[in-house]
Amino acid sequence: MRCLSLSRRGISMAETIVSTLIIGFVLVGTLQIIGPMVRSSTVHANKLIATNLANELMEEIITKKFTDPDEDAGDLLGVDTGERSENRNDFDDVDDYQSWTSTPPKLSTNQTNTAIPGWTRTVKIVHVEISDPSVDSASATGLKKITVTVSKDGTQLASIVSLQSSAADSLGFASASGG
Amino acid sequence: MTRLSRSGFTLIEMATSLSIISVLMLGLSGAIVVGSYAIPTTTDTGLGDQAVIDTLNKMRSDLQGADQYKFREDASIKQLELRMVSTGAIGEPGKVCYVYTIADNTMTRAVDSEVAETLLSTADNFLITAAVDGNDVVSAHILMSATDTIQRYYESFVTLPFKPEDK
Repeated sequence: MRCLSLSRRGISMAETIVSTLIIGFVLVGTLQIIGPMVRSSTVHANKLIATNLANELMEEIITKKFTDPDEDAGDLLGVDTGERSENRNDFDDVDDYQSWTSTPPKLSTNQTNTAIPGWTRTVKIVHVEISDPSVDSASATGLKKITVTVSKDGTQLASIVSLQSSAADSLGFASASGG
Repeated sequence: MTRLSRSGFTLIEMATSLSIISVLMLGLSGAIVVGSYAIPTTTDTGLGDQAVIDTLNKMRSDLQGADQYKFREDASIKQLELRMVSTGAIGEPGKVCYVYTIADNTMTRAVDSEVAETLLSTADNFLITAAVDGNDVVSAHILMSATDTIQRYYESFVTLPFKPEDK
């Protein structure tokens, strides 16, 4: 007759604690990656929207005439006589957009885009030297520098710059809207 | 004769550990549910916005290469038909047609007689207004709105270098 005695030793408490700790640390480390991934995808989306909002307004501005068709304002930048500064339907030349800002952004039809409440679009227009467009000029030179800036909750996310020349008026592409 | 001598867990130990694990899992699942709200949806990641921007870019590019412009709309569709400038290149498109179907919010683009490609299925409005000089279209203003997007309302101003004839 054969007598077989099986004596098996299990996992001790110390081993269990150590392995649990190792797994815990690995898990926490892995989870920490998820946070930045989530944030980066949202940041990417915000950059996309910001760039698009800036492009949309820049496109609108550069389709306007360089010089007001009703009166040549000379050195002055901003809305002209009879135009309302808060209503883009009245804008008919590039520099009417000087200091235009809206939070949230408005469409060219003046409809407020309530889907993006914390966003702001701002326009700055200056006369610049033809020989060196990086130098601002106090008087009209025939060249204007347009800067459109987009920010969200006070943080600037996009800024685009374009130059518009008085020669653009002779090309005949400017839209006829505005007063 | 085989005699097995094993020291296992008692029922009390098992019941206690299971209850502890259950309570911990319950707490953890609550944290996961709260945490899941922070996971961005496809809307949050800007995929919907990217699709609309891509569509507008395509339309802008086609408009700038057109020498004939025809827009018609009725109660069910809005259709923009463009005849493209011929450069003599092999395979160049002769006609591009955008169709916005109001009932299912889709925007499609068809080149010549090819099968139309669906660009958007979330567009809930589409408008295009042409600025004309005589019978020539000098610029176009596109307005579009789309659901499942961050920006929701989009617009584009396009100057048309070939000043296509408005048919």
